Amino acid sequence: MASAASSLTFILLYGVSYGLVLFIISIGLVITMGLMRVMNLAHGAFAAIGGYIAVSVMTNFGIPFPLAVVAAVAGVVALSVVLERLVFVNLYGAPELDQVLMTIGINFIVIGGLTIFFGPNVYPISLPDYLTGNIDLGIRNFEVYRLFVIVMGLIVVVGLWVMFEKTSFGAKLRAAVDNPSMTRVIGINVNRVFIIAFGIGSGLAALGGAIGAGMLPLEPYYPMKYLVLVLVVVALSGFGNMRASLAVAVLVGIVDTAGRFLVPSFGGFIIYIVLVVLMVLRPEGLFTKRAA
Amino acid sequence: MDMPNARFLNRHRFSLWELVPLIVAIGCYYLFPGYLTLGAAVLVMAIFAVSLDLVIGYAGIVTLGHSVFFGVGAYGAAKLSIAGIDTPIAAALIAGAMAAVLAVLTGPFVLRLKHLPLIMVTVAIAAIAHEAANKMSWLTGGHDGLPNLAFEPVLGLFNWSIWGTTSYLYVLAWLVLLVIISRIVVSSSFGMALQGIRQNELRMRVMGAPVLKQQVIIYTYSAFLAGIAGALYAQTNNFVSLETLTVDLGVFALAMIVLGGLGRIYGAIIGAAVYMIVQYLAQQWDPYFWMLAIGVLLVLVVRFGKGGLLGIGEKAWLRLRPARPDYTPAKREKLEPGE
Amino acid sequence: MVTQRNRLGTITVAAGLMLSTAAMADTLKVGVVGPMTGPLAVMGEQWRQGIETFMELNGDTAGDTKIEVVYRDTTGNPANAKQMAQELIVRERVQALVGFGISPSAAAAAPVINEVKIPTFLPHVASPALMEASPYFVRLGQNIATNAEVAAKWARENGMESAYVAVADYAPGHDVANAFKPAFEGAGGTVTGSDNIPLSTVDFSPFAERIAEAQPDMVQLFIPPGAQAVSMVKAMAARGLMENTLIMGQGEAEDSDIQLFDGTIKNFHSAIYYSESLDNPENEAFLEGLQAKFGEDVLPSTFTLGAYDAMALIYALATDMGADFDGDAVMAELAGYSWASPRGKITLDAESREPIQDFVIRRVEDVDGQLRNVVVDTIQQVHPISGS
Repeated sequence: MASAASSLTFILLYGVSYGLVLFIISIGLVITMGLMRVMNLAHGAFAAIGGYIAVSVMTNFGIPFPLAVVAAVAGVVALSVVLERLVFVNLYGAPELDQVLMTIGINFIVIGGLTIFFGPNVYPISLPDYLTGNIDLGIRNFEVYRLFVIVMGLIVVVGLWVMFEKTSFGAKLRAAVDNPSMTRVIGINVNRVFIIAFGIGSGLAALGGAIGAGMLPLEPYYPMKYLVLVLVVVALSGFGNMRASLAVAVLVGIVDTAGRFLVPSFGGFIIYIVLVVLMVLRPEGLFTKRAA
Repeated sequence: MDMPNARFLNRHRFSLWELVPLIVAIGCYYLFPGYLTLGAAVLVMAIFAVSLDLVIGYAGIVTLGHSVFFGVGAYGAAKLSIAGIDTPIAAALIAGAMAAVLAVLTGPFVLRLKHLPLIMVTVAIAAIAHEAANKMSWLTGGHDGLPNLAFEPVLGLFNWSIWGTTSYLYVLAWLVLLVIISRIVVSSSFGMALQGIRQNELRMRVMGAPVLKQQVIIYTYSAFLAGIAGALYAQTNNFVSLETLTVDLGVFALAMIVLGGLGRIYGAIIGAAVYMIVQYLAQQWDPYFWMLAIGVLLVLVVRFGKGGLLGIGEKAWLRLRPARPDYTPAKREKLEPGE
Repeated sequence: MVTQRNRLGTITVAAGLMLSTAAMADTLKVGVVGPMTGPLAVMGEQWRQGIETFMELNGDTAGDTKIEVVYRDTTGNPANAKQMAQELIVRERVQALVGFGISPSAAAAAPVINEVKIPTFLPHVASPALMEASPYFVRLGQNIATNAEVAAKWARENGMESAYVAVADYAPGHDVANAFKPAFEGAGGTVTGSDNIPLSTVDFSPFAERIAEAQPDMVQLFIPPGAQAVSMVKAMAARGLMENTLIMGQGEAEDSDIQLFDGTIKNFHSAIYYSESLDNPENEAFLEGLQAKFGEDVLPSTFTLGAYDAMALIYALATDMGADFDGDAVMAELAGYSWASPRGKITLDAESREPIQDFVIRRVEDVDGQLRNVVVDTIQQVHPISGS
């Protein structure tokens, strides 16, 4: 019985921490896909670049972890605003294939660039001392680092909730997702909302990549490697459904962890099979949004 | 230009220009005898690229998981050879049929989806196939693959050699045959219907077209081609392993058809040839420089026009050709086969 | 799988090649084919270091024969391996091949090698069944089953009663598991659990958790070096396994990789056939030559060593036989051949062409503030079991 309780807590704690990293990375894509209907397959690149910036300023300049993360987020937000004006603005309303090709192209460019600058191998992160080691939770030990990830995830969730429900920007964002044409009619500058939302989404991806670097190791292929997981979260959430994506991300984290823990040989399959079945049955996502 | 038997050619919109790639391919056979194994690999990829172009370029079905049909064809031909069915042509047809069966079974479910869900499901199916092939090593050889495949001489007459002469001509013959059939398909009313679906599916449905059925048909035909390409890969390499099932294969094939000209059969062929040859030459560089270059290329092609190399070539030709007194719009159309 | 090969065609090809090579009797071309770029590029790079070190120390002539080395890149893809081997044989007319970064690549190239009878020196590929693919393969690394057996026996001798096997879910991992279990149980131990970890795994904590729950005395690992090995070790360290359990692997933590693990790799044990700390004159010369040519901080790995030893064999053969290698004569000469390598004495088994060599048990320890592999035990002249 003790072992069953231990297993259960393992699945919950590790699954939730994994899921929250996925959430932080994916929420940006959920927002931008819901908002701009752009199939941005390059979203994982923002997470990768964020992670690489954070680790390289830590390794090369000795900058402490929290500052490094801030630098990573700032850097990626700046980059994303530039990219938005240069590249993504051409993709709004463009045929889907164009969006897929362009963003895959960006992915390849980022992967190539990361290899050239950082080499083809894993770029290891040295977590600061206060994040290493385990903490005793009574039932079991748990990594301090993962606890940190959970806490950060919850902060992001609360922060987003506050933004969506309590700020005027949040209201404009929700309006623009639900009905862009009406929102314009009322006189809201939807384009500006797009740009800001895109910046926020990319910044969150960078945050996820930077703080998640201890769990999802940084390597040049990162953008493609985690793309599928991120897209799983987005696809199952339904476009623009921010609340659903939290539930979905955590669910994906738990299902994947449980699958690998309970049935290690088939762990890799489970999430894909679940995805295929769910997509065929409910292509609009697990939590159907009310139609506008 | 004068076109004998104009009426027959007109109906299927064949033009003499289409002989040019064939002439080039035969020329390469004589000019580059040391590179025929590379040539055979290029031609195999050309068939795969054509198969992908049929679904993405003509029918508008955006799938990133087409490698699964290639892999099924490759492993199918390999297992057939091991089981003793090693006449190349028959084995290739059977392997192609296996891929087609998979398409016919999954198509009705998968093709109901659109946009992101379609992409996701096709990627997921390819990933599952890859993982399954890795796990079922009793069937597929797993990570090590199936080496030492041996096949009977083609038509009982032409032996395989390490110089690659038979491989090259064999694959070329397949490519020519499949291109002719595919050209007929896309120029037919079925092909027109597909393009209608790609351009405006809602309108086609409203007109009463059996959209899903037509999509499944082209999906199956394309899978048949991809399966044959996989089988030819097995036959010319004498070796099959998991890289025939990677998602990357489908993504690179997409880059090929975009490079050459989306929605054009010859675009796919040109794109595959250019991509493979430049990649071979660029192997002196780091392959990640190569990835950077492909990325830049994709971005540029999407940004500045999707005609690809074929489109650029045609525009240049139209600018360069001298004005002719009997030049009429109708004839101009014939110069642009496919679209 | 029987087919009629056109004898005439093969003879023509072979004759054609021999006639053209006879014209260049004084130069022997060696083809090096493997991953020079891509994720496995470190193999190609270290082979080059080994080859160039050898040629620097011994000149570029063996007896009356000049040795020329030609490199081709496979990027780690087995289909390329076959194509490049074919190119080297058909266009460059090489007399010997050194290479193949992974076992499937060697298997893919085997038919071509067999048809033209080119002696092929494999610096490190470890699949047990590989030697059956060609009678012209010479293995200079290890048969991975041997490592597992050595590890099992050593662990039992050092009091380990229970073992957990955690291997990557592909052929080499299965080979390790299949060799370790009977060896460990045959020596009186119990294998309490065995996991195949999918290659696509991103988060290794479920596997570390499973191991921790089983509370074994030791863990036998096989994880591909690089990102995967790093993540697995970190997950195990987080679970406290690196401290209180014996963790044994093979090449996951070569000296060149240690800094990737961020300190968590301490106490990691490996069973392998070489450590750069070995004390013998050949190793000294090897290290000196390597560091003189490539820099003070460069350390050799089993990749570097394998290519270095391949050149040693090729030179010995060229001195004896000249620039024209007859595949069958070369293999006859190499049967039972023995020489002093930086790893110690090595003999090629007459039947299987596998190496008979010393194995060492290494442990990662703190040496003057740096983590390095230190040899803690040596097992003399281990005979490999070939085949699966």
